[in-house]
Amino acid sequence: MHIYLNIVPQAQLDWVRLTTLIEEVNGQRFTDISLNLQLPEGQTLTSTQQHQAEAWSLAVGHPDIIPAERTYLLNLRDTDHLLPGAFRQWAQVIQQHPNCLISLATFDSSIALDLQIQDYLTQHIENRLQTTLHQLVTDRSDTTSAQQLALWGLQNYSIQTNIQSLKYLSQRLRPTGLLLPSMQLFPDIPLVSLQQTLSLLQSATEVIRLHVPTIARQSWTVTTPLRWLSELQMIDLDHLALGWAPLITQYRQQQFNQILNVAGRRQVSTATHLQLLTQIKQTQTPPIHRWSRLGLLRMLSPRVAHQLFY
Amino acid sequence: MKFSLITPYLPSEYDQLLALKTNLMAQTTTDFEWLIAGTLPIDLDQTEWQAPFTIRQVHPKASTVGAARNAAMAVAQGDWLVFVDSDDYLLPTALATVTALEGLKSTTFIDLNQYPTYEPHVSFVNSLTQTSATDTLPKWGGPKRQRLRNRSLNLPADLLTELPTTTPASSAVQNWLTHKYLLFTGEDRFEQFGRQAKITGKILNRQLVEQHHWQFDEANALYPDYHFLTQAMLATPTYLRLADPLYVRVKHNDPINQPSIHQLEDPHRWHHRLAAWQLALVDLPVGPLHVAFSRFTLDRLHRYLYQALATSSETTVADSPALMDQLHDYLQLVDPDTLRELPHNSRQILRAIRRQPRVPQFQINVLVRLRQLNRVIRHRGRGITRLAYNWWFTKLPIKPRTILYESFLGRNFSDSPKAIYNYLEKNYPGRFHHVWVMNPGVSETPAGRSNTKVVKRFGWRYMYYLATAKFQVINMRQPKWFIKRPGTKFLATWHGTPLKHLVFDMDNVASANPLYKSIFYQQSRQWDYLVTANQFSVDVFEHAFMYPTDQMLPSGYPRNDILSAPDKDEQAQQIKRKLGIPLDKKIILYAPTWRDDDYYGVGDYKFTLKLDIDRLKRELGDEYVLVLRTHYFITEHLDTTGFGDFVYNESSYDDISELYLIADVLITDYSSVFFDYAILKRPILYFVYDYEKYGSVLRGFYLNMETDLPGPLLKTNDDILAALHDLPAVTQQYAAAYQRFSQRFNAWEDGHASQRVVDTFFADELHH
Repeated sequence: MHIYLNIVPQAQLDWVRLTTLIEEVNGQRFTDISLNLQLPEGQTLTSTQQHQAEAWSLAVGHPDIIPAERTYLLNLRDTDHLLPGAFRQWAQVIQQHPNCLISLATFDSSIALDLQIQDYLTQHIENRLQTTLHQLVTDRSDTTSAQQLALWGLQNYSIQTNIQSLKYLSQRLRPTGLLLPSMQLFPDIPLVSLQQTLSLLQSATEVIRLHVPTIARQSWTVTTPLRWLSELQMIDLDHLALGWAPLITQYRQQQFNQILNVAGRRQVSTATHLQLLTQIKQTQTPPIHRWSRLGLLRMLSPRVAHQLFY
Repeated sequence: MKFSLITPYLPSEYDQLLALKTNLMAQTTTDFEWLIAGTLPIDLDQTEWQAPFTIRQVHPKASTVGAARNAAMAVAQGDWLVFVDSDDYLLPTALATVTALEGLKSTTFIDLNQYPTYEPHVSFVNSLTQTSATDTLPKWGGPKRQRLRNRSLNLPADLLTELPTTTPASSAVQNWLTHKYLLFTGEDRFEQFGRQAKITGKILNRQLVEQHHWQFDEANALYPDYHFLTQAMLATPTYLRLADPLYVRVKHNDPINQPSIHQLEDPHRWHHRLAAWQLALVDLPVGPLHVAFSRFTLDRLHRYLYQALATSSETTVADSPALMDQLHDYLQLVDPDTLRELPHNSRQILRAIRRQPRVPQFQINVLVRLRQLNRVIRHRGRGITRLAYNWWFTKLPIKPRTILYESFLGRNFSDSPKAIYNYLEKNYPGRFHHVWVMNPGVSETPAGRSNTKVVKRFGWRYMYYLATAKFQVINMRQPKWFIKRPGTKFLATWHGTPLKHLVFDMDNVASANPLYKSIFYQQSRQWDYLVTANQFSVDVFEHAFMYPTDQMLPSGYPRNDILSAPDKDEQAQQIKRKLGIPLDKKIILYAPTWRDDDYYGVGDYKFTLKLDIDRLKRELGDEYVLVLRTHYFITEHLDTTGFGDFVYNESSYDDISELYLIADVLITDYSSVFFDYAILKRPILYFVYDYEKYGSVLRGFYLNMETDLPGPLLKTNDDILAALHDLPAVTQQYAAAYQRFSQRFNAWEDGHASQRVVDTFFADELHH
């Protein structure tokens, strides 16, 4: 069992956040991992950073993966977080289901983790696993450790065979935050791309879903909408396996609309918003819902749409 | 010793007992003894009974399950008693997991967590070879809504090292994280009572059992457990169920030949059940368990009793006055508050019985009908026609000259029902009213012909004629709710000589409806006659359908009369004209079977047609055209545009017999079409490019594909082309095999099958 953790900064590398992430990794004292940093083009590390990277055993560049049945790749942003025990939980699932795509439930990295965990535990207060754990824990103080323990107690997974389900596509298609089986990676496709996960998903017969969050992240729609848009536009609908083209068309519609919704909340600059509108308008697919932002954009110029939506 | 496994068995269960022994050999611990209790003596010195754990045989005084379990408990030596039935099995880590649980008290009621399935052990073990997953379970056999979706994840012990130093985790927590279980204590002790009220898969402390002298009911053959279980629950303040299932309960999918105790048809079943409940409840003090058991039993009555007692019911309850006496007594014992929890109608019925031991028949009938109506309302009107059939149409007088026909569930106007219809219309015009069942959208129907009506399947008129037509001629199966009325006659024409194993010859039907065998049996009992094409079919149907041979018509298939008709050449010319095929071209008919595993081969659809059409056209296009007859799913994704007038896709053509008639050569594989085509004595080629892959499927065939076929098995396009280029050589080489095949399968096909069927089935009607 081995996990390649490939860190891909979303824009300029945030060294402080990277340090936090590496500390979270090292704090887990899990040995079967290789750390890798895949810097965006044109970026390099300072000599101090290089020294630190060496100390962390953090390789820089394209990860050199040796495929094996229980070897997995996890792409993460430098802004993402790992929850305690993440590696050991994944290792257990990989042990049960080698060579399967593993989809991870996540918390939102832009919201305080404690609050989210508390919310999660409250939502599952009636779960018999949690009540059983309460009976066994003698110290009832509401500490972080107790919360973490409760999350571990609730951890469960499902084996999902409804691969072509639109409802679950956003869980299964994302360039970062999925455990990808190394033997099924497509070497000709960039490792951190929508195309890579889509190709993998098309050839999958089942997906394992780990239901209790083990990482905290934000979706690409929020963090890098332009990059996400180009990933979506890069999908070649003509060369998908049977049944996938209509599904991905719908999925893209949803994602475009979501990009517009999120960007409209002034998450991006005016220029980026305009660029998004222009690029989406160029996409020829007809919208499914006429009165969605995407539908309205078909009838308006990007500039008018910008006035309306932003 | 840690565990004593207790398994009662019947003399007929020797094989499954041996299968269970194989299963137990896979346990990751051997710290247990296995006590098998039954009246059939078994020589445990035989090699097949050798095992790395102790096996002991116990001879009970009586032949009931209760007596067997008691006898085994009396000699058990393990600390814990584990109850395992001979048809069930354990997952390999079951006993080791329980061993690993820390701090188990003798007063803990342990549950290995039952997982229901229809998949027997052998088939489950076979399925494991195809996966690298280590948590595989057999196919779910319980209610759909309760299907196990999420699996609890056990975690490694070193996970706790990641917690800050002020860890709240005790060793009990650590142990729990590695082997998760659910605890039910205090107020929750009797939650999920239904799961607790089954003895199989439960583990109890032996000393506790001995101390209280708990015994199973030896007199009650069907329900020996309730008293034992409730007493055990009373003495165990904690119920512990493992979070992941470790005990697999096999439900029987062949209740006709191999019923489980719960499937045994016994008109006194309710009497036994009530006796067991009464025995249990009378010994329970007032308290939470008394309430829980009352609630559980009242729910059972509410759900299942009324249907059995309704006037319209097919199930028979013997001696209902005695049953009412029993129920009257029982209801005096149940907790009155739980009775108040029942829905109004149900409460009224039970209160009436509680007051007076009499069947409130009217109220029960009303309730049962209201439930049927409610089901229709919940489905927004779906099923309303069926309700009308059930309530009213089946009360109407029978129409003595009406015949209802259905071919392939209304999908087309074809097959033997069509041949019989044509024969009757030709020879006895106006004698009968014909009603054809057709789905909407079918292009070719007999609508507009004299004396003929076409009705939509499951529509109002369909229900009306299904209930009132005196004759039914159907080539597949009638609906399972079909009521065979006295005075009506049912002709099952079936739809082909069997190639793949059918119904009772199938090892396992876990993939289809698990009650398939039982439903099929009930349905086939409603057939008055079954048409057969050859002696081979007679022999197969006798065991595969368990159908009496004296009710089979040894007639040949009416649908094949066209293939022996004196004017078949003229008919062929007409069909060719109808399809727009040039009369000077010869025809290759390609009819491959549908491989459902292609479904998983992502992106493989476009290439599913392994026949090289391009090459066929290049080399044979001047002389031949190709007629395709495939599954619609393949056809829809097949691009034949590049082949111009060489390919004719007739996959949706109604009557395949007409395609046989025009074809000069047939290419097929594992489809049973060749039985019929062979009547024409024309060459048949078998294109079996995936023959090796089909090995396991072929084992489920009645024919030996290597020796019994009238044509060559060809694995490549080269072979196919070579054969097509020199068909006379193929014909010559297979002349003897063809003759043997025809003798075996087509000896009755002389073009007069329709006449023989009509003369027998409509004899009374025609002679009047």
